[in-house]
Amino acid sequence: MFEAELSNVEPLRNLIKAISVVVEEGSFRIDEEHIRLLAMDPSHVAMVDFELPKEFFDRYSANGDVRLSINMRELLKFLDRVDRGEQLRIKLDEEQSRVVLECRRGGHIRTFTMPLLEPMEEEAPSPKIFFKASARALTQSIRRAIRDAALVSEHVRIEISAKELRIQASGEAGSVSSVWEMGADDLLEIKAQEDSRATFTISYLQDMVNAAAMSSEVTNIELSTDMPIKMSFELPQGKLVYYLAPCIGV
Amino acid sequence: MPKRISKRLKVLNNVWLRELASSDPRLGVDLDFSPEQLRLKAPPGSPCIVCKGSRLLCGKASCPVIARLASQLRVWKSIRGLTIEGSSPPSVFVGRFGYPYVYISPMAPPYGGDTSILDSPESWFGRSIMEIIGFRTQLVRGMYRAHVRSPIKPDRILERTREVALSDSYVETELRLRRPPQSGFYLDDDVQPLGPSAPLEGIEIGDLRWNRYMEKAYYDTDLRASEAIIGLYSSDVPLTKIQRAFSLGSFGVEKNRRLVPTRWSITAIDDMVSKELARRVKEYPLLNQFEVYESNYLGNRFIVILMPDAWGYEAYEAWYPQTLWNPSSDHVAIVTDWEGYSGRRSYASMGGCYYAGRLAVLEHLLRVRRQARAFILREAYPDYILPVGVWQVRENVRNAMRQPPMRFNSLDEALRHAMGRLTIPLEHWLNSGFLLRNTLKQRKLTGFL
Repeated sequence: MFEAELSNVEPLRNLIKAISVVVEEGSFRIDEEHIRLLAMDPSHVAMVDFELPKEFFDRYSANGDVRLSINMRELLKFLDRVDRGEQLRIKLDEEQSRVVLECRRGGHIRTFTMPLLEPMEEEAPSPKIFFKASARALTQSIRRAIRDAALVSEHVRIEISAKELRIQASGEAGSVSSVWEMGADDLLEIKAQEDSRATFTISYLQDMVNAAAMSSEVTNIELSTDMPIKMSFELPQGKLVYYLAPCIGV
Repeated sequence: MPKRISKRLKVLNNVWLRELASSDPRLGVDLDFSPEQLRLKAPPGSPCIVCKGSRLLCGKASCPVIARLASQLRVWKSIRGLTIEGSSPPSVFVGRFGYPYVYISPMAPPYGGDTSILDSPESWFGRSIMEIIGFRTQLVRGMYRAHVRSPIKPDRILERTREVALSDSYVETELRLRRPPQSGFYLDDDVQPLGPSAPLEGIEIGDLRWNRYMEKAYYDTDLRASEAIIGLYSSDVPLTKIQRAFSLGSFGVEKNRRLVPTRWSITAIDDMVSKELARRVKEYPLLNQFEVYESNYLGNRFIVILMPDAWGYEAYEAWYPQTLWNPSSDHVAIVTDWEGYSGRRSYASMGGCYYAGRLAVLEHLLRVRRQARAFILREAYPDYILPVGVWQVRENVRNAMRQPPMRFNSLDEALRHAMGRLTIPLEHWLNSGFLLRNTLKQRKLTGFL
């Protein structure tokens, strides 16, 4: 059994969008305390680790361990129809294997239902990587740097040293770089056991940062040379973390 | 991307032809032309005027203009008067100029019998370029102008033309023309071969049987066009038949039915069908090896590389110097487009070939029930003298996928084999596209778990 209610759909919709950049179909694990999702994209290049505590909702009740697998794009289409100011109730209808979305305002109730999918293969394990460097920065600032890089290349290099965070790219059209020196306004924290750098496909990073920027103001980037990057987007409640595998030899 | 003809040059008294006849005695016999019947036009700067088929200034393996001309002259000579009586294969054409007022043309050769081969690209694979040109030029087009929305309230001519398009096999047809077919003949080296045409006065058709699946879709005025097309494809109706009927506005929700220019409709069908196939293929397990397929036909070589990964597709076309779409003399032109797992939203810049290739590859994946990432590398050589249509790509790739593949354990090995079959070095391919290059560099998370 699972049922939850919330009065403003916006934060939920933004988070579902952020998940949908990695997976088309998602399988949520729901227990008494949390909604969780850990999934890799179909090419196994990116991963999203997502968690919402029950406090995120106005009302929340779940019994036992529930799996809820749905198509993210279809879910987003429905969530887009929910108006501001409508009370949204999400219900799992296990008997008919579907999700029910109920929107209420005044005495008016609109109901959407969508079918559940077969649950996915077993859940991906989260990467166990020891990161050598990290930087905490404003999401908008990182987002701008990645959009800049996309002007000239399909790949972007991210470097963290004890002194600075650097995002750069170069291609036939020229080169672009952003540097945050230690103490910069947008750089809140920087740590490095050793200088670390790795290169990533911009399109993935861009999708992630664009989507996450709607929910999060601060990003924590963790890095080791030529290893996957971990980007944790800080949320008022819950967790939104992406992992992205590097490119070698660009 | 046809060349825009900015200035038309009238060649008086067909000097070009006369000279051609004297330079090629074999052709001279066929050249029983009269200047009223044949008007030659040439774009400015066309090398054909100087070359006259003898020097191959365009760099092709044989003269495309002579190939077209010889075939067309034979057809013209067999046309007498204003009535064309013959069996339509069946065949119809919808032009794209003047949209939303377009020309619809029922087509028939000037003779009867089973003519179905003349317009069934599905069975053309393996035929020579001269035969294909022959098929194309024998069809006389009776042109009739109509608004694209007219399928909702069709007049007599449109109604009959649509019946021809929905027919299951060849149809006895009588085209009444307003004036004798007059073929403006472009002296240019990259024009599609087409038959003679004239404005249509009226059309009579003999008994015909509709394709029963198409008939059902036609009468279902609440069925969306895309669903109708997927349904027809699943019932094994050949793509070109679906496309013909679709271009005459035979499917879809009634008030939305409209004429679709042939060129657009071919790609629309390839796109709609292959999108659906991609959706199904994504449910299959990954291929377990790297596979390389190959097909050679009409001066085009196709290499298809399949690799074990989530669905993704990239197509490359390399045009040799002085081939069809690459008039420059010294470097190879590569055109490319790609899509990831979730498909693409914008129209592929390389045009219809992208979608035709995607369709052929997905048909194969569906057959073997596997998911893969696919790359199509195409080289077009100088003996591809005339553009024959997107069907060439579809059938060539389909043929490649019917062959037993070479199997490899890594992308590097597969690419090494592929490069042995192609003349353009790997770095050129890699530099012009995205997906293949990225596939070589991008690591997977699974290696770090």
